[in-house]
Amino acid sequence: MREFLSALVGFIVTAVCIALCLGVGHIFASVLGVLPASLYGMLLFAALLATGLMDEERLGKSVARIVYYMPIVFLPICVGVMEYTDLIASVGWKLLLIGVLTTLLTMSLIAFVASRMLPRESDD
Amino acid sequence: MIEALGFGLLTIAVFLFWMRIQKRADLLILNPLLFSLFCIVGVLTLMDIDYQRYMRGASYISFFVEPCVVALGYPLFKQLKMIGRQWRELVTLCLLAVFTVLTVSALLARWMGIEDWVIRSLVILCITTAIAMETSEALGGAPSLAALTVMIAGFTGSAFGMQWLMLMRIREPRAVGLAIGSTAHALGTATIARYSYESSAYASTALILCAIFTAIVAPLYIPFLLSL
Repeated sequence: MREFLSALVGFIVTAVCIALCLGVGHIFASVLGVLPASLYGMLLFAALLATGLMDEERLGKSVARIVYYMPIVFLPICVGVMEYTDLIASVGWKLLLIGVLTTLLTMSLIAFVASRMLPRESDD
Repeated sequence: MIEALGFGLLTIAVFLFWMRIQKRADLLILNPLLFSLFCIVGVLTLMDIDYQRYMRGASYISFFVEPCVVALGYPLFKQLKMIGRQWRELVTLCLLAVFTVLTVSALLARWMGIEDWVIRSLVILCITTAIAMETSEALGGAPSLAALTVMIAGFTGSAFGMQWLMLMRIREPRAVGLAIGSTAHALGTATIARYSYESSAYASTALILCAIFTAIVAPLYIPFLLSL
């Protein structure tokens, strides 16, 4: 019971921190533009953790749980592919081919170059 | 209200089902996101339910996209020192990714005889949706088409990225993270975060850098490329 309450409190604290960072991210996005609010919020969250103002260990356990189930939040947006049936019918296979080939080719190139370019972890 | 709740619960139930299947089968290819998508689209199509009706319930789930992206700041924080030491390499790799995506997609589209306005929509495919749509509009393309191609890139990287890189015998976590983050954006980063925090941190870094570089480079580079 104690463990459950502690985890719950930790989760609430994490949610509040994330909400605050996202709120500030929205302000940055409306003033600066360039990046969406969530990416400004991500950078701010990382920066706040780096300052030590937030309890890293407590947040870490809650974030691990969020990250585990995270892909689910993208699912409704992805179902939006249903809205493009006309487009898919006319040029769909071309879009799919271009999308898949470009992604796999770029992924391969970057992974190959990165694995040779980045210093070995023991060298750092 | 009940219908809306039902769609939300359907989404969660289908996803958790496929997560369990993947865990039991221990096969990465059984991507829960991809299989859940097939199931849900199949059910909605069979029951003749349009996307707007579905989103009335499922929007409660997609509301959490932004907070989840913010949460990815934690893996990024865990690797900050390491990333800071390698900033030159990271900037170089992300610039390489951006130019590769823009060039390959534009040239492939040209070769397939696709019209210019469609090319301007689909070349911005490997970055986060919000920036892709804005940049595509600035280029004279259609934001909705940009959103579609972003989904294709995200799915490709998320569903097949790790397996593809394993086939290429690339397992170094930083390289995997950079490759997936620079092509499959937030969707790929979210998927990879379940397997490796180190990869996720590099993917998050690539995601941000590539988004910034694309927003700056594309409006200049794409018109030049299309004029050749």
